[in-house]
Order: sequence, then C-alpha cells, then structure tokens
Amino acid sequence: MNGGLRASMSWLHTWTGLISGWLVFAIFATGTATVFRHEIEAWARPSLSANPDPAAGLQRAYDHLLTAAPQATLFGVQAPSRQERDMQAYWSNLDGTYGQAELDPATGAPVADPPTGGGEMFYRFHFELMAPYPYGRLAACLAAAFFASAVVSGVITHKRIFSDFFTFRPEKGGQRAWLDGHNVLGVLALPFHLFIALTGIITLATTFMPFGMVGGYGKDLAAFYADSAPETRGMPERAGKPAVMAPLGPMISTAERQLGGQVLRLTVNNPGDASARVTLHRDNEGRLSRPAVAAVFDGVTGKLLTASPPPGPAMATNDLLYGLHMAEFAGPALRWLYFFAGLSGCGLIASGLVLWTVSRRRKLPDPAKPYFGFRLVEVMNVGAVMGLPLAIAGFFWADRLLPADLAERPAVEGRIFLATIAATIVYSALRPQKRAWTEAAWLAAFAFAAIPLLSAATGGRNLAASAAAGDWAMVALDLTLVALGGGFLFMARRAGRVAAPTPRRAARTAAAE
Amino acid sequence: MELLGLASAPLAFAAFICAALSMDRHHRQVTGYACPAARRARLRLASKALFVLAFLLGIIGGGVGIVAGVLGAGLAAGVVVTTLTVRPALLARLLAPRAS
Repeated sequence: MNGGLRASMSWLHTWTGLISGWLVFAIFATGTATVFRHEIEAWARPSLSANPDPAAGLQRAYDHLLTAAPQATLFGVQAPSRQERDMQAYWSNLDGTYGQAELDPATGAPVADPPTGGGEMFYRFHFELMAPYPYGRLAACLAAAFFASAVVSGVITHKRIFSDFFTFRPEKGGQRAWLDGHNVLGVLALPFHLFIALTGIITLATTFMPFGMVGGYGKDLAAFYADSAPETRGMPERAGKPAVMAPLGPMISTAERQLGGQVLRLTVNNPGDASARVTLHRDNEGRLSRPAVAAVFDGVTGKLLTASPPPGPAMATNDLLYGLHMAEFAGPALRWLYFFAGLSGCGLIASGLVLWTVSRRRKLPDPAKPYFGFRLVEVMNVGAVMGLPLAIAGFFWADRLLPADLAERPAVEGRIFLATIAATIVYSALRPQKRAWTEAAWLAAFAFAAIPLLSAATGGRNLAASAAAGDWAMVALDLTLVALGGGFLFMARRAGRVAAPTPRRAARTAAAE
Repeated sequence: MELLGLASAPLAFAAFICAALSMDRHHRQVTGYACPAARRARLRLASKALFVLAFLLGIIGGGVGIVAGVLGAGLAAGVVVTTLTVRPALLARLLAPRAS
C-alpha cells in the first residue's frame, strides 16, 4: 500500500472492488431491472390493460375496500400511474391482523392473474437482498458505500482520465482490452455511478445512519415519523359510531387543486366510522424531488381539514436525493437512459471483477492449477456475473411455468431466483472457467430470447397481440428481453474464441527459443 | 423539461466527436495520421462551443433537464467510443476534404 496517493488508491480500488463486487453487481443488476419494474409487473399480470384512469381506479378500490374489509381500522391504495397498471392495497384490522392485495383499476377487485412477485421482487431484492430486516438493508448500504469509494479511488488511480476518455482497444486483447473497457464504462457514466451510489445510501439513511433520528427522538420513532409527515398528526381515535363515507371524487378534485398535482395514493383511517379521515397524496410526476405531499379530509363530511406544510431544508434535501435515485420524475426516454446507465454500471463491475483474474492469471506458475483464492474469485465471478442474469430470466420462466394455484407462489419465485444464482456458482466450480463462462452465456442467451415465445405459449403476454393492440410498453419489454438474449449470444461467441492463457514463465521461454 | 435535457444529447455527441478527433490517437485511428495543428484548434473550438450549448440546454430544462443532459451525454460519449472502435470510417467522412 506504500508508494503515494495513487498507489494507495489503486490498492483501495482493487480490494474494495473485489470484496464488494459480487454484491454490488447483484444490486446494480436488479436495480437496472427495477427501472422497468412496473412494466414487469404488467407483463406478469396479462389481464391488466394499459392506461387505466387513476381517479376512477382509486374510487373503485375505495368502494371495494369499504365493503371487502369492513373490520379495517386503516387501509391504503396506490393508484395506477403512467407505468403502473395495478393498484396495491393494504389494510389492518381491528384484531391486529394485516392484509394486502393487488387490485384491478378496471373493477377495483383483486386482479384475476395468479399471484406473482412481479417487478416488486427485483425492487425489494435491490435494497433488501431477500435478507431479514435490517441486515439486508445494512448490507446494501455497505455495498453502496464500498462502490462509491471504489469509484472515487478509481478516478484518482486513473492517470490520464481525459486522454483515455475515448480509448477502447479490443483488438489488443487480454488485460489491455479489459482495462480499456473497464475505464471507458466507468468514465462515461461516472456522474451516474456516483450519484446513484450516494443517493442509494440516502434512501436507507435511517437504517444506515440512525444517529440523528435517535439523538433527536430517542426510542420514540412514532414521533419521528409523525414529524416527517406532519399532516398525519392528530388522527382521532375510533369513535365506534358507524357512518356513511363521503364520495371520493369531490375530495380528489379538491386535493388536486390544493396540492397542485394528480392524486395517486389514498389512506383511510377508521373507515366507516364517524371519526374517519381520508388522506390523499399527490403524485410527483415531472418533479425531481419526491416530497410526500398530502391533504387530509373528514371522511364523513368530505371537508378539507389540513394539507402538508412545505418541507424543511433537511427534508427537502432528502426528498431531492431520494427522488434522484427513484427516478419517478422520469419519462420513457429518461428511464431508458437510467436503464442504459445501469447496464454500463453492470458492465463496469463485471469487467473490474474479470480484470482482477486476467491481470493475475499470467503470473500464476500454472494457470491450469490456480491457488484456492484465485479459483474462488473465478468461480464467484461466473456465479455473480452470469448467475444474476440467469436468475432474472429464471424469474420470468418461473412466473409462466409455476402452477397458478401454488401456495405462496411469489415466495417460490423468489426461491427459484436465489437457487439459480446458487446453481450457477456450483456449476462454475465444477467446470473449467472458459467453458463455464461460455456455457452460462449460451444458456442466458436462450433463457432471455425464449421468454416472449414461452409467454405466448403459456397464455401470458403475446408480442404479436401486444403490437396489434398498440401496447408498446409490453412490445418494448419483450424486445428488450430478446435484445438481452442477443447480447449474451454475442458474449458466448466472444468468450468461446478467447485463447487459453499460458503461464508467463512458459511464454517467456517459448519466446526466447 | 426532460425533452430539453434530451435535446442536449445530440449536441454533446457532436462535441465529443470533435473532442475525440482533436486527439492524435483518435485522429490517427480514423484517418491514419496525426491531427494537424490548425484542424486541432478548430475541432477544440467547435467542441467547447457545442459543450456550452449542450450545457445551456440542460440548464434551461431545470433539474430534470440536467439529469437527462448528464445521462444523455454519457450515452453520446459511449456511441462515439463505439463508432471509433467499430466504424472509424464513418467518422473519417466528416474529415474528408470536400470534392472540388
């Protein structure tokens, strides 16, 4: 680690990159898929139609829940947005039990499709890693911090960042080509990599850095959350007097005028009771910041009681950084840019991991028999870099092939996702490295490219039908899956052509002769 | 607002092409010879002017415009790298002397 700042940073870059690389790759890959999570949700629920009316959907869900959950002390509904086609509803009952359901905006009733994790599974995995709370979130935060430090140390390590800005020499092969590729991917999307890592930490700030919250509120977390959403303070206790709820439409109109935007979420406290309160939350479409702006109404009279005050400076900063990470402000073109930047991040991490082995392989006395640590990195590289895409494809296959009435179907999809990664690691350990890369890439190419065919054959979304109906979001999703298959096909062919490495000593002897 | 940011991407693309071609390594990659001094000066000037225009367009687009501009510029730079690597002849046409 001696040798000045650049050498120290190089050391830091290498080891933080290696230690956190596999986890960061998983977070980046699922984060990239999460950009289109609502489209994936819609793909997995073919009964839902495009462009639902949010206000009408909220009204239907409101009417449905008032009758379907009469014992609820609270219920909430997330309306369909530009991308979402379903509505997520949750409720808590008098007896302390909870419930949740995906509702169809066209009917307000639960969706007819089999239960699925949908895009929500990738979203949850992205920051919870399917680990118990709070360990998954802490691990994701640590990985983001490691990634941010790897990016900064990588920039300091890079001697000629401007003159190498456009330099990519794949024809040189080996370490030079991998290093060029790694540098190019890192530099081109550098602002994205930095802000996505830092804002990612901010989204989980209360888990990762709870010190301010604990210092200010101690163990009274309810007070902290009440101050975070002051309009929800002072919700009355249940009166125990049944009452007819006011119609939602006029409340939505008033809230939209008051809040300056479309209402996309509602929460009802004490529904069907004289003390009922209806809270309507504004959408943040077109706004970089993501404040929780809401208006509270008397649920029986429909009278506006209070609205969110402007957030304080700290909360406004948090809302801005949170919004930058979540990209809910983004239209289709900008979401595609987030997607491509996410892919470049995946490429950056993958090329860095491969570079670690490529740069060390020739120094091995016998590349065919590497030491344990080297072999472990090789195996884990295939397991992470190929296992994650295979697991993502595996989710789509599982969604179409699992029986509709299977108990805990979304959980089984999650287990298949994890099992695919584990299976890829085991497979990689059992096969020679070059073959493991090539075969996994062939499998990924097939797995992705065949998804639209599988879907059409099993009664799911059909590419031709989607195109005929003008459902371009589903057409784009299917074509993206096929394109990803094409990308892995290209990778499989290139990996198959890579020459087997020769030991440095043997190569030098051969050259001398 | 987002559209303004996205509109800056083609400007950033042109700026990156000028910046890349003003470097000897990439000029040689495209044409086979180092960048002459006069051409380098013109390319650098054009690159700076285009960058300023792209930046201004993003600024006018506000916060969302800046995010779109930054991400669009990254994508544009990626396209320049790909073109330099895979199809340098396309860029060579930009520098070809006009037929008299």
